[in-house]
Amino acid sequence: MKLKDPYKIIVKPIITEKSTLLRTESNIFQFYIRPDATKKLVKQSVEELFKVDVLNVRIINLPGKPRRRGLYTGKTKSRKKALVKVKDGQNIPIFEGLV
Amino acid sequence: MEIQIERPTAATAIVKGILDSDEVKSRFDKALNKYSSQMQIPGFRPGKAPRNIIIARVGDDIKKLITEEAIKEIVEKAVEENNFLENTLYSEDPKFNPIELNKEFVVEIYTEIPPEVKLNNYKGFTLYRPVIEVTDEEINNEIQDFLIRNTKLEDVPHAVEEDNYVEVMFSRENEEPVRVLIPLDDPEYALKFQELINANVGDKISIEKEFPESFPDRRFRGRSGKFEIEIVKVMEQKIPILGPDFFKEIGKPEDYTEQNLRKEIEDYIRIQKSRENQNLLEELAIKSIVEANPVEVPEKYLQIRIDRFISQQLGNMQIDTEHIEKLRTEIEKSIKQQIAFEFLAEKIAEVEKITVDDSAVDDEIRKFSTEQKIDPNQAIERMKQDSSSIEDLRKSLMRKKVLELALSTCSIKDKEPEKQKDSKLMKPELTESTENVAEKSEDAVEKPTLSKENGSD
Repeated sequence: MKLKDPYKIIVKPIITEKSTLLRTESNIFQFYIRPDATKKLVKQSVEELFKVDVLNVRIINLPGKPRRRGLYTGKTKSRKKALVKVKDGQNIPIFEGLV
Repeated sequence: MEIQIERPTAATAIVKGILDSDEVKSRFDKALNKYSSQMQIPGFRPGKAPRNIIIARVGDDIKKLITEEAIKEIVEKAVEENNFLENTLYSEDPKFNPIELNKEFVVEIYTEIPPEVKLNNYKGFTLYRPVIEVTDEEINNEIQDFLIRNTKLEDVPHAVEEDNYVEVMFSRENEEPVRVLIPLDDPEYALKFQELINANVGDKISIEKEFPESFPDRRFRGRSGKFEIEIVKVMEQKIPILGPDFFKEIGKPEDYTEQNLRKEIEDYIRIQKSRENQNLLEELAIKSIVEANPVEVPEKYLQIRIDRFISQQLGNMQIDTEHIEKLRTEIEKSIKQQIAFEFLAEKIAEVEKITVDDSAVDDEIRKFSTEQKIDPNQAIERMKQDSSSIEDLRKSLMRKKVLELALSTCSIKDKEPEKQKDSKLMKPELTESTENVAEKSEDAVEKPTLSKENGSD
């Protein structure tokens, strides 16, 4: 897949207690990404969007959880999460003030 | 927290409050900690969200809160440290820079305070009043006015002419006719009922009109369409002729003559003039006291008083800005004098130990309510609910007492008749309070017993 629009690869940053801990301790930033995005694409997108050096990308698939309402069963949307390790001393400012 | 007071003039003060950067930071942190433990942020347990996230969410609100608290504290501390700030006449909204961490926070509040009053002299002035003279011309004019007030309507046998009064039966389709008196000497009626001119008693006239909402007679207001008019009576105003018949008509005794009437009117004019003289003397006394004891009147307080006076006088009248500005300039001097006298009167009352007790205030309310035909006890109860009104009344009575004291020590001399023209020129403009006094006194002057009711006594 050719990188065209990094804004479509990176969906939104994940800002939670756990991600904040990872960020402060290991400089790992978490993002929701497109379900078809690859580690390579994520790396390129983050580098282009935030002008940082990405050392490592780990991807976690989060399958949708089953949900049932009476007779009807279904499941929540599947998501894909990327844990991006950035070079020490570099920072992604949008994590500072966004929730 | 540091408070600095600047006194550009004796009647103004600028309160400056400074919070240094450390204090701003500590106040901000304290408020932030308080908020962070209560805030529910998605992805975080209460109290676990990082500081920057809380600042991003509620930082502005916290800054606003700190600003409000700091201003309140500054004002309280400034008043505590400086007694003269307790009774401010006017305070502007505080001026401050937005709170920023690592920067000091400065608040400035402009206030106006009662000026320091130094009494030089407030007794023993020489005041000149005009000699009271009643001329024949004044008496004749008053008699003429009186006769006009007693004009009668008399039936006339001719057709309707301009300035006549016409009694008509006025009706509209499917409506009962109404008896109406149409005064054709009133321009508004004359314009709407031109068709009546040259009509005779018994004539029926049909008119199509539209009456404005401001028409004098309520029964016509806002109505339009075709109306039927039947002329019942044509009348003319007749000014009565002075003589025994007229005197009898107004309830005077049989031996009453024109000379008696002239005497009554002369006495009435004399009473009026003596009231005017009294008002003039009070004005002159105030002017002399203010001139002898210069007081600096705070500028913005003066403007507020002028605004209040204009709004009281004009009420809901719509007047263009240019006229209001002209009026402001005209009354500025007299209101300034009045304010100066208020400050001086307080000081004089303090020196002379003049006090106004509750019973005097109650008596004044009783007097006023009797004049206005209100139940005095009810009026007292109502006034006591509003402590500021009672206080205003007390001050007003106190000023009256001060003025009485000052006048009692003045040497009052009559002005020579040829110099009276100058005295008119010197007459100060009416002030807020004395104008009311003048109005009241005019009402209070009892008219000579010219009416039927009075005559019958």
